[in-house]
Amino acid sequence: MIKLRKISFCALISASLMMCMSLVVFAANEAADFEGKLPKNQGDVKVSTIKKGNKVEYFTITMTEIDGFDRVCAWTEGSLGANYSSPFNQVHLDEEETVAYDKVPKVGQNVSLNLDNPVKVDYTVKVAGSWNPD
Amino acid sequence: MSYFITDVKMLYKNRILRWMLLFLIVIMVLDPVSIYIMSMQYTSFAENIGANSFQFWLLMNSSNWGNTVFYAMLWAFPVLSTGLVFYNERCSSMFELLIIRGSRLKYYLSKALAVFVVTLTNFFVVLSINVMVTYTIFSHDAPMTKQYAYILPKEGMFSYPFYQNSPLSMVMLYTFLNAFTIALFALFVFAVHVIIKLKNRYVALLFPFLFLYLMNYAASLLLRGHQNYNLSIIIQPRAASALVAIIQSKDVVAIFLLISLIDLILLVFGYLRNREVL
Repeated sequence: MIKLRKISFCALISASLMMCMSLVVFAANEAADFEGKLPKNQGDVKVSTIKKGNKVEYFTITMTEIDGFDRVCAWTEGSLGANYSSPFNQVHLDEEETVAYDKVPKVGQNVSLNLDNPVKVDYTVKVAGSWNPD
Repeated sequence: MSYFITDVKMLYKNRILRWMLLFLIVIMVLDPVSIYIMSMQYTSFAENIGANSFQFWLLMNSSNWGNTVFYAMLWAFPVLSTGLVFYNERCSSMFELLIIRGSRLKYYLSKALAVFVVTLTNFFVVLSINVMVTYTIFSHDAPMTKQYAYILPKEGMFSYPFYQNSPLSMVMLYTFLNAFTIALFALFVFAVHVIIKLKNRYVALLFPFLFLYLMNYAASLLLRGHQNYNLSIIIQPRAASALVAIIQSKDVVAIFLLISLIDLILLVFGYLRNREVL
């Protein structure tokens, strides 16, 4: 009886762990919404940080708002500020874009999305969209 | 004519102008070199971003430091381009001597023309140096990538027919526009120096710079719904691809005519205001 209880207990823990892991995997695969403001004078802004969930060598991004513009520069970096992808990449408004990593982050590492206006203006620009680092 | 030649020589002998030119030439050369060195770290750079010279000349490449430095100092260049030559002369006895020798009209006309022509020439040449270095390092035949396609001017933009003619035509258009803008504002700064007797050299440098910066800032906020009339946006090549509003040729001509008219009015006002000199 005690042995059966132990086996049941282990099975329950294992099943719980598996469920948690699958939730983490599914959560990391979902695109996350973001919004922010591009600083004036071509400053850049960090709009979102997500843990990488898979080993794919690109991230996807869809811009839904870039007030007055239809292009924005988008790149990713790690916790210490080193770039994972090139700031030369531009993405277009209302299109799902796939951007390759130059240096692929490891699964579980934090990946931050940065945005920058390719045109120098003297005011902030509202941006919004969604992205997935996987 | 002799006044004009003397004024041009004085500008080129001026230390402020020389240091500014040296600073600019260093940026114009190092900017494309730094991109080339940086891009070599990543084997996928040419494939993903591209390797065409049209993408990397300083005015177009807003992702690199050279573009940031140039446009950050845009309102300082017209002030530095005057070299404070007129200011220094007015603080000395040379001012009255030169006016007596020639005439007031000849003196002011020559000074204004020298500032405009020298500034236009300087900036056209240094920006062309950047274009030459970029086209030497990167090939103009490199294949078009998706990122290259994203920087092409939209149909209807004033620069679109120039790009259709050849990418280099568009490059030279913006080179000329930026040089012309800085030259017009150098004339504006000269007019400010004629109209207002500023207390010392530092004020003579700082006041026009702050005035230009604040004027541009106010214009940017007022023209937020009409970005096609914003001069600081018009002269940026990336605006031709990234802006939703279409900047037409008539918008560009109207803005430059307006600034030229303002310069003319200020110069005439400065000339008339200084009648008491003799």
